[in-house]
Amino acid sequence: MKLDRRRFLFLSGGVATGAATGRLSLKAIGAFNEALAPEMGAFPGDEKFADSICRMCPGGCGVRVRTVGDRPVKIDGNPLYPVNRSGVCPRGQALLQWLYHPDRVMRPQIRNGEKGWESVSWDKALQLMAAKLDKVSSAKQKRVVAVSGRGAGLTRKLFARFLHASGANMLFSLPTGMETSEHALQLMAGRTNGGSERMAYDLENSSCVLNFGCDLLEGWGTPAHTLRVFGQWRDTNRAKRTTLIHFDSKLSISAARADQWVPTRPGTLGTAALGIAFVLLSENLYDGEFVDDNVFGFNDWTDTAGRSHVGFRTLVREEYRLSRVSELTGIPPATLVKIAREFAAGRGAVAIGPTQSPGQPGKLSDAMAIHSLNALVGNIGARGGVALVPTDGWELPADARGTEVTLSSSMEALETSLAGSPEVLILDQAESLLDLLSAAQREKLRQIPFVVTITTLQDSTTSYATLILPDCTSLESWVDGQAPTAYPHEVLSISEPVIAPRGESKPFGDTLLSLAKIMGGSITAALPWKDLPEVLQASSRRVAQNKRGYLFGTEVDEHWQRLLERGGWWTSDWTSEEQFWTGIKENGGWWDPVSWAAEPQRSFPTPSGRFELYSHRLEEWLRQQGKGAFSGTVRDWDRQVLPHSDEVLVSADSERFPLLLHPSDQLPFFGNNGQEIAYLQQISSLYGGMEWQRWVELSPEDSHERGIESGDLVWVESAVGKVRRVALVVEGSTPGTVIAPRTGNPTTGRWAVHGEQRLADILVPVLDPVLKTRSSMATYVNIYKA
Amino acid sequence: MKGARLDMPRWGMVIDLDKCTACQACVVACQVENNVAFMGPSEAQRGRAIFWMKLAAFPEGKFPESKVRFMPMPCMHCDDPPCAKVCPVDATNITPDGIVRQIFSRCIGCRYCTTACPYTRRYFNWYKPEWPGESSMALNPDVSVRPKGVVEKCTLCHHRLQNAREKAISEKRPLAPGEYIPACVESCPPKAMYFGDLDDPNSEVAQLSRSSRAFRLLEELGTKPKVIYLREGERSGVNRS
Amino acid sequence: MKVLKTLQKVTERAGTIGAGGFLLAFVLALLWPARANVTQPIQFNHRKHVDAGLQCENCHERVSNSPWAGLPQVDICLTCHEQPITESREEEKIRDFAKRNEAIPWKQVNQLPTHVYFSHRTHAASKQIACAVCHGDMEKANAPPSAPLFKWTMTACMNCHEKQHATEDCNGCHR
Repeated sequence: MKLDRRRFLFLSGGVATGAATGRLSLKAIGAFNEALAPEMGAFPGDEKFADSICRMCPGGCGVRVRTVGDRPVKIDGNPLYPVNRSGVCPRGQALLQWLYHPDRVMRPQIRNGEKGWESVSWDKALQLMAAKLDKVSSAKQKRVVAVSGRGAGLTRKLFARFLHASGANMLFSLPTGMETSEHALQLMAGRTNGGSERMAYDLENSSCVLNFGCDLLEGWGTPAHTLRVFGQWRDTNRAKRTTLIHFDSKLSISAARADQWVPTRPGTLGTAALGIAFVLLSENLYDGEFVDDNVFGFNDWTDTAGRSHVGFRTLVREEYRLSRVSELTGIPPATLVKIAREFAAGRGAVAIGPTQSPGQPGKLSDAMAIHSLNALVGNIGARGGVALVPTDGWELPADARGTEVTLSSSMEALETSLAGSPEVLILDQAESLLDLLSAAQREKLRQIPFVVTITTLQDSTTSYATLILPDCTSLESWVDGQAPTAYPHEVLSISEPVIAPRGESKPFGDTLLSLAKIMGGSITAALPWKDLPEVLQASSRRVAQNKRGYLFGTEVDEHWQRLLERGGWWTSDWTSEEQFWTGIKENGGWWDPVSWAAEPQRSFPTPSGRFELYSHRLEEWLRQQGKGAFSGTVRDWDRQVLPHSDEVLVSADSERFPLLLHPSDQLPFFGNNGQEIAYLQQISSLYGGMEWQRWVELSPEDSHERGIESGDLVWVESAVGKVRRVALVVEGSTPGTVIAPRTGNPTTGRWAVHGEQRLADILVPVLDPVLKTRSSMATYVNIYKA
Repeated sequence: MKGARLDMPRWGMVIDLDKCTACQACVVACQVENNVAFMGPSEAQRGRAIFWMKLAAFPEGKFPESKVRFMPMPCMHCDDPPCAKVCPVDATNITPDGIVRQIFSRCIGCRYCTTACPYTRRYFNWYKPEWPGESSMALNPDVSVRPKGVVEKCTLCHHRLQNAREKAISEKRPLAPGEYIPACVESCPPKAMYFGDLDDPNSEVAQLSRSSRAFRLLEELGTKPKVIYLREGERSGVNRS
Repeated sequence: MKVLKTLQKVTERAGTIGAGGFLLAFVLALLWPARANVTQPIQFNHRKHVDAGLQCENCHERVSNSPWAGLPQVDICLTCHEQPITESREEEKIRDFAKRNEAIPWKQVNQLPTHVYFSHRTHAASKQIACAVCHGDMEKANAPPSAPLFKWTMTACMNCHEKQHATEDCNGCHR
């Protein structure tokens, strides 16, 4: 073959092109491989563990954060934190997805036009807010409404003090669900004047639990603690397995995991409780000693004016006979008898309920009926039972100006305030608020001229806001924790930031302190601290004075401390305020693990000095409300004051609206937030394939009747409106009942589905006849194919 | 089990269904620990969400005697794994200490193993995993991020075993019991999960595996699963009013 | 013979020669080992530092207690270079970075694919393998190498593992 010019040119051209194409292909394959193999988190870094407090819900469990190279990569429970002792619920596990959520608000935003937002500096944002608040406080009427979904803690106290100093008089906090039961217990067991108290259950030591409608495993009290206690109840290393009986109309996860689910007609929880009481009375199973010595209103009695009153015993014996109770509740009499006998079998029995979920705290009369069961078995203040315990929490150093702002969790009072055309609305992590308001009420929010929302993510509150102040997650700031809802011991905890705040976000506590400085005058005087650690240290001084309690330790330490306590000893873990501050930072907190006594409480701060089945305070209140003294027979009057059960919840129009809809809270979204977090969305649908959607659960009977199958789009219609949902048919669920999770897909952010069709739009709150606040949101509806 | 050695542990797990609260903390803990990709709405609705640990819910019965049973299901780490038998490239096989491992870089995505697994505990990466914004900052550096086209499943947090062994070697001591614990077992709030060496007669898992409440899933298939369940306690049978 | 004739016919056409050349060059280009071309922010001279008596682990601190050996940051360099030791412009760069409170942006030349996990602690500290075995004679390098001095392939790693009876557990390196 001759290599002539032509061939040479072709050859060199070919070689050159070949080499070039080859290199490019190599690069292309390399790039292709790179594109297919996404980033790994591999980077040089040391592994360290830092403690923090989770604030995904108001509970506040201790978490231990694994950081590699200063980046948090895993969350688990903190074994030293007594509330949860190294377990966290799935929300805590997903904390990192919240921390690094792509829709985090990174800088303050001011609304600019219809849909636009303008990023501004913190200075500008705070100046704007200060100016607006100044203007409003100088006007005649104080028209600032503030709502906080944050949960108890120092930040909320700071907020309350700030509001008080700037002229507002009420801070609405979202309800915990325990309000009604707590109120009932205070009416019956009395309330120490001046002291603030909360209701607590010593569930860890309960041997038999009657659960009237509470979704224990789906977010009750503080999830990680409740889940841990459940595990302890069934721990085979324990002497006795705790019995859990669940009364409810729906087969929730909590009902399914109980030892026995007792299907109870909706609205009859109190009746069921009184049926149990009937058995205790007729078989003489109640704690006679406690009842005789420490309970008032059990037997018939005569008052100072000479009128004779019916006692609890007579009322129950005559009006809550098993046949009647069985008819009303749908529970077979034999079941009630068996359960009552079990309940009274030994020490450590407790009854909890009714419902006790945020937004559905239950009826006062039902709560009193359930507490009467506790009284009958003599567990008030006893180990495994229920009691009112002092609620200290972190306290701000005293304000010379006097009383603080009132904290209210009444939705009705909030609605009244919102209806009064306020000028300024401040929403502090209050996304769950919007789920409790109807569409009409939410529209009213749009009329408020200045709305500030403090939030970490873009959420449903941002669409109403004029100013957004970016908040931090608990990993990015100093956090304080305290005893969560219904927890039996006092706890005060602290943690340092694990990483620096992302973007320009700032913890709300610090924001308030900065705002106070800008606003000057009495407001600065009310909040004189420079930053959160200074507030925490100032607050810790008071706690250091306590002659009780210990810094956090291990479970072994806990056993030792209880042993000491039994012998009447207490050794202090600290000798000075400084040492206490250092200790509390290092160990994570302080708590008082005092065991509840084996014996029940023997003296009560009530007018009679006893636990009152017939509550004098309630009687007085009813009189003040104009219920009329003794209109009707004495029996009618007594029935109102004694624990009783009102009529069953019936449909106003059973033709049009035959099904009872129960709004439910699921654990992944407990606290009504977290819909934006993908890991939580993925686990939200246990019965199949409904994640990222809004669905309703129907029984096979009801769906068959309506020709509905799983996956069909349906209208859920009540007397006040209708919303569209996807239907899910669940085997074994109660006919006539529909369960509707309150949350579903997020309405903001990258996975948003627009056109909010919130459940609150069709719900008709049932108000408690005495308290006039909502006791339940169960509403009669009809469902048909869309 | 082929290749088993007497001097090596045989890792197994016990899940006490009586204590399980169906909270799914284990599910999320696993996903966070192992950099499992999450799905948005449309992918999830196609049933493509990946759950190395899945909480299966089995409603049974008719009202009012109805009940729901919950079972957390990780990979069973069978001693005779059907998935390992069918893999054409040996991307999945069983280690001498009983972990059915998945070698992501060798997997060609044929999904033969996914079909073979009778417990349906294997997942295929249909999509390229995306970590929007800065969420990739939270990735665990000890575990790789799988690309599209690869099958993945529970590894019993094998990387934790590696780390623990490596640390033990550098400190010139044997591995301590409890030093190696998968993320799910560590996370369980009611402490319903136990993990350890099934061949060590003194270990908790070995003792619990011999309990009268113990059972395994689909034993009749001969897969010899090493995840053992403990039946629910008394009174948790069919709901009788 | 017929084959040769066909071959001759084929090679007579210029186009086919071009195509042949193309193919050859293409394949060669694919096979020729790709090298990363990396320039470091500071032209660090390993030889000078080793001659001065430094050991590898003095600067690559984490080699004994971590999976990653670590590339030294300003604080390590400043232990000696807080004050100028030489008149080198490169040395001045250290103090520049320190002043600006910036981390030195070293580029990782010795990179493993993302699906490979390697522990320096096990290899260097526990098994006492000399650094030069894998990283080559860095002590003789005057400037930072633009590519790894040692060609790592899985075969190279596995050869050593087999010889030393080390683990052959796939998951040991591939997680």
